[in-house]
Amino acid sequence: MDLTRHYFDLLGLPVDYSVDREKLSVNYRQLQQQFHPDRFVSAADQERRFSLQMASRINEGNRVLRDPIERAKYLLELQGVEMGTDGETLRDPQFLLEQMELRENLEEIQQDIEGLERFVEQIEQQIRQQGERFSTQWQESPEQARTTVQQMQFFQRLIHQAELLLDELI
Amino acid sequence: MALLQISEPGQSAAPHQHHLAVGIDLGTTNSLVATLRSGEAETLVDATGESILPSVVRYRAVGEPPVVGKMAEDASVEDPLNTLSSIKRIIGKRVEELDEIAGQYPYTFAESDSSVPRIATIAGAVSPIEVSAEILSVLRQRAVETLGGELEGAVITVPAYFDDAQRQATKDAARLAGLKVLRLLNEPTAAAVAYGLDSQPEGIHAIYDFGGGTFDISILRLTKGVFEVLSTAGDAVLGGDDMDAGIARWMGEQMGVEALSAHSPALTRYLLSQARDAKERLTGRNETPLQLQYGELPEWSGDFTVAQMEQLIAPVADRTLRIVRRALRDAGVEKGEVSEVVLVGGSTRIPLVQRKVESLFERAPLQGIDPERVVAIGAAIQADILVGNKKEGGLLLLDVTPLSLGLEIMGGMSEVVIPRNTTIPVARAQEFTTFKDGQTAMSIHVLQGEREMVVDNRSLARFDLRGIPPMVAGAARIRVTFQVDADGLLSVSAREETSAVEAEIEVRPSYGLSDGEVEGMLKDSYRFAEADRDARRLREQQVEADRTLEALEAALEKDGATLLSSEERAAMEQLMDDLRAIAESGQAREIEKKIEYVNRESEFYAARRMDQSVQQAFSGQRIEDISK
Repeated sequence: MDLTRHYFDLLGLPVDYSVDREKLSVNYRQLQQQFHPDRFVSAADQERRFSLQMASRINEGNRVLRDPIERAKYLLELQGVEMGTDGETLRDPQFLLEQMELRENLEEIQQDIEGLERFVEQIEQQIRQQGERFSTQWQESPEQARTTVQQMQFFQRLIHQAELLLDELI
Repeated sequence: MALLQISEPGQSAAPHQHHLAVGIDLGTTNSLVATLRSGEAETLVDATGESILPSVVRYRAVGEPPVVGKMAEDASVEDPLNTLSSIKRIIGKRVEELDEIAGQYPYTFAESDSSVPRIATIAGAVSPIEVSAEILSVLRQRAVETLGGELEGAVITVPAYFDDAQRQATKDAARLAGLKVLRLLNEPTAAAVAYGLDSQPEGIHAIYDFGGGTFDISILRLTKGVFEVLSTAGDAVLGGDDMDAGIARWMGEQMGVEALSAHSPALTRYLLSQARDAKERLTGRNETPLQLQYGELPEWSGDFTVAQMEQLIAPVADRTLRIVRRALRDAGVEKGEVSEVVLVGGSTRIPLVQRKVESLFERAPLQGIDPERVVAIGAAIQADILVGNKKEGGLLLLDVTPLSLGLEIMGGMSEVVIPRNTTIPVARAQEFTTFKDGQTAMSIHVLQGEREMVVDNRSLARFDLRGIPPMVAGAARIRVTFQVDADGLLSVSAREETSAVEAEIEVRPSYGLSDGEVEGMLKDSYRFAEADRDARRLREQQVEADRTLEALEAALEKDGATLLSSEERAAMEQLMDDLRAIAESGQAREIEKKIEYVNRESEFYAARRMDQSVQQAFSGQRIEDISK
């Protein structure tokens, strides 16, 4: 069985940063209707094992293609651009300064549920903007695109921290 | 002479038309079993016409079988130490984890060298798994008698928020009770299925499941026959029991008792049952007289009002609302987008709880199906789908992992590999490297939970990966793969990727019981006389053989002609004939071996079939994509 088919192909979408989410949902559901382990409860052992692998892969593909940062990383990976480790340093002083400010901002609102929720929305907006930039970069200048993704990951970590704080407040 | 059977037009006359399967709601307070008969879901009743089985087991002297259900419940005040209830709150817990809830239990925990706690009873020390198995056995027996045949399997429900250990322990209990588990199904999802099939409304549903001992909230989206769980959250030890405990504490105070746990277990039992009764009496009434009298304590009587009770239970209800907000946030759903709110579980009968849920969602919750039965009914519907009684496959459920799964990294920190609310099944790998030069082994510590520090999370398993060739620090690439199956159970494997030497290990965290322990218990149990056990094992293998044969027949009919050469096909049919013959005349062990053989020999065919389906899945849409 071909488990190496890439996610865009598996989920019936063209290889691109912009994704038709509706089509992704429809295709995803259609694939799971067919391959989910619940459809193989009475099947022979190997079919059940294949179905587990297929369904896992379909789920993972759906997650990656749906997520703006994972999708960007995946496109680079398909082009053979390695993302490297998460903690790699960015050499953009301006960007790092902004990050520090956002972090301080986060400290100040750590007890404030509404403030934290607004903060998350604001950062998500930033990620969307980076995504737009990424879609113009990834084919022509993958190295720049890679920097954009690293910046998105910085934003992602801020969201994660804000969410941990929110978890503690509720 | 037997009459010849003629089937209806369009239906096959195959001998295995209807598969017997049940759904079981193994609850903290009550348990039920349900099945689908001629398309209708129904809960099965005992000889007295009662469908609800109180989840209470009373152990008696060695040699006498334990009593399960109402009769056990009735004995709980007179025999508190041997009458075990709310056992679901401790299933899958380790001894050291019991402190937080132990105060609420009147039992004595026995010393034990295993990590599974054991409760001392007159019949010896029993584990929560064995106690649960007693309850499941009674339900299984009830189903077998009512349906007139051995069950092909059961769907057993668990709180969505159950962790890996609690799920594994529940599965072990089922195995011990002689049930084949088709699937562990999350309770709120089961409720959604029961409602979903009723009306098929598309949209976002919130299932608020507040039972005796657990609270769960799930946010789901139903689209075209697929139920996608968007998020789930909850508390596996928050329920009506906590409300009862609050009321009982207050009652104790009225009687001049300050710290209830310091007193006798029987007093705790007495007050808890008074609290439960008073709570029930206050449904639909504003006040109820209380008369408390116990032993030497001064008698107390007075009126207990709804307002007093609501004050005592409000903190518990408010905590559930905070968890609901988190689930909405995880699902990325605004509360206004929720089109239906479904209430499940006994504690949702309390008017205060209903009012609070309604004011949060700003919409009246649905309660069309009896909240005490809805979970069992949903489980029965899913069991029916899973054993293949539905022609078109039926509703598909896509559930999620309730808690994040991760690994310990340097500094006692936890690194998440699979975040909570990831759709299952899922497999995800992450690479790690060595910390020291020449390091040849790596200790892998698997964790479940949301906290950053290892100590705050649940430890699921620890294992060592050995045989890593010596390299400089940071050069090795160890790939750790987490696989969560459709039951929500995890297995972990690790291997070193750069070297020719492969060190691979696979761990299935289980702290329920090892296979050996389960076997041992089965052997010891008076429930299974030897002959009985053999007969059952034979029957199980025959069912398994039938299942394998049916699967192959269906496959051959569909694509045997296109995917197999005529030689391959003939070989396949020969294999099937052999299996059929052995299934009729052979021993359990022989049948099992033959099934394994057939499975191995037909593996290539299964692979071809899967391949073909993937090719076909989007063949229509591919063309336009290519032309871009």
